[in-house]
Amino acid sequence: MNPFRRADHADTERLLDSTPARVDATLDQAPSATHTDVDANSPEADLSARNVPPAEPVAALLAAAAGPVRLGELAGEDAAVAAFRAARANPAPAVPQRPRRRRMTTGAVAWIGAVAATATAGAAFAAVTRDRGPDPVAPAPSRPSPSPHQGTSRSTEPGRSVGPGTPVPGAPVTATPPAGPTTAGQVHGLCRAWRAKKPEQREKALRTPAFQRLVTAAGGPAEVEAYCQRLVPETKPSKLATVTPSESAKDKPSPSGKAPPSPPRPGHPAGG
Amino acid sequence: MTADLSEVVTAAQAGDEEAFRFLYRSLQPGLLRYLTALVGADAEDVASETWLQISRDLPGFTGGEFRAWAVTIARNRAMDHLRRMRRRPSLPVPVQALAELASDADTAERASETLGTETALALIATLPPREAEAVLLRAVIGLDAGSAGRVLGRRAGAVRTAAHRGLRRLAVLLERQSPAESSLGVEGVPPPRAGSSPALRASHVEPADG
Repeated sequence: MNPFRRADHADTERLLDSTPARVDATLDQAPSATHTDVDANSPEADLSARNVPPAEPVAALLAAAAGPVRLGELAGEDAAVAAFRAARANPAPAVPQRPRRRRMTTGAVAWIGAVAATATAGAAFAAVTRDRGPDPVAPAPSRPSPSPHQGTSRSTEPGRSVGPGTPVPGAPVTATPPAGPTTAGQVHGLCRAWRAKKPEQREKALRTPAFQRLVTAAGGPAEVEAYCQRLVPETKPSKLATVTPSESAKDKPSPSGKAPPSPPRPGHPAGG
Repeated sequence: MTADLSEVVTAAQAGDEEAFRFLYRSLQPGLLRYLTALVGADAEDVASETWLQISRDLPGFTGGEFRAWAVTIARNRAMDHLRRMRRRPSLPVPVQALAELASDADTAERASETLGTETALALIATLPPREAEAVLLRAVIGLDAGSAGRVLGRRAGAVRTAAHRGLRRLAVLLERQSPAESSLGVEGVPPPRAGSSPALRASHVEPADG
């Protein structure tokens, strides 16, 4: 018979408290456990080894439910770690309520930036016309890249780890602003997370909302593969192709150092 | 358990990748089993969504029981998923089917441990939703009644009662399933993996609230 049918709440609690944590306890020996516990015909021995009263089938069931890690249960580990890495690289607003407010503040910042830049542009223009001010601002003011103007001779830099596919670090890279590509970075992470999945799971993954942004960015589920290949070319990811044409317009030392990605239109150069 | 986990959580919040990996390994099996009861074969998808959100929201985690926090995320993702799918779970696992599965047990050459887990989870999933969730959160994830109550939005006492009822129901199920002396209908049944057996795929628990 089944003694548990007459159990009271205290027994239940004891039972429930005794079963869990086995998943963690056996975590390290999980791969071997599947091979050692094959002895299906001796439940008693099996149970006593797990400190479960053998008289209680329910306890055995709970023990089995909380049993050691099964094959495949940790299959998503690399994808999760990739997502973690991406999240660290681009701390993005996670709560769906926050983006709206953020967009609003972004708009405000853009507006202020526009006004400020227009004003300072007028001043700068005036200054330049008055007394031939300093030279035009170089496009790469604050980048700690080693020897950015080494040219394209390629052979002069043996220390650089330039992948076979990556372009020569020259002019295009130096103009890359570190501010803009938050969404691009997220797509980066999604690409990596998606790549970390097993090939047979990839198509399915694209149907989940977690990867919707990636699908949208790529222009369709079929494009994701090529898109990710372009975006993250397997080797070291490099932030190129994010140079917005309007970037140069914002390079003036305006008070708003973190100018928004949508800079002021250069339509009114002389301040009106 | 909670104490050292909180250290790991702090490390992960600081960006320690290994710490995050540890969290994943500690939590994922339980999460996946719990989610399987909620969304069936889509559990892996929902789990990866869950981890996506965990890694994004981790900096905002302010302490407390990390497991409960993570499970709450998982549960919300599962609810969203169900809402999205507009697909409600079909019938729970017919006990008859499980018994038939069990009769094939001898021919199975697979590891009994794995299969036992599978079947045990399928059986738990046959319980009424509240009871199944209470049992899974308590016994598989390892939350105490209070934390489980917070995840489910109910009081600890309600969780205790639900778990107790669930276990009683399971006891009856087991008794009926194995009238012979073999007290374990749980061990040694050969369904492969979650979702590949039709009987087990049907083993959804309809969540208590929508």
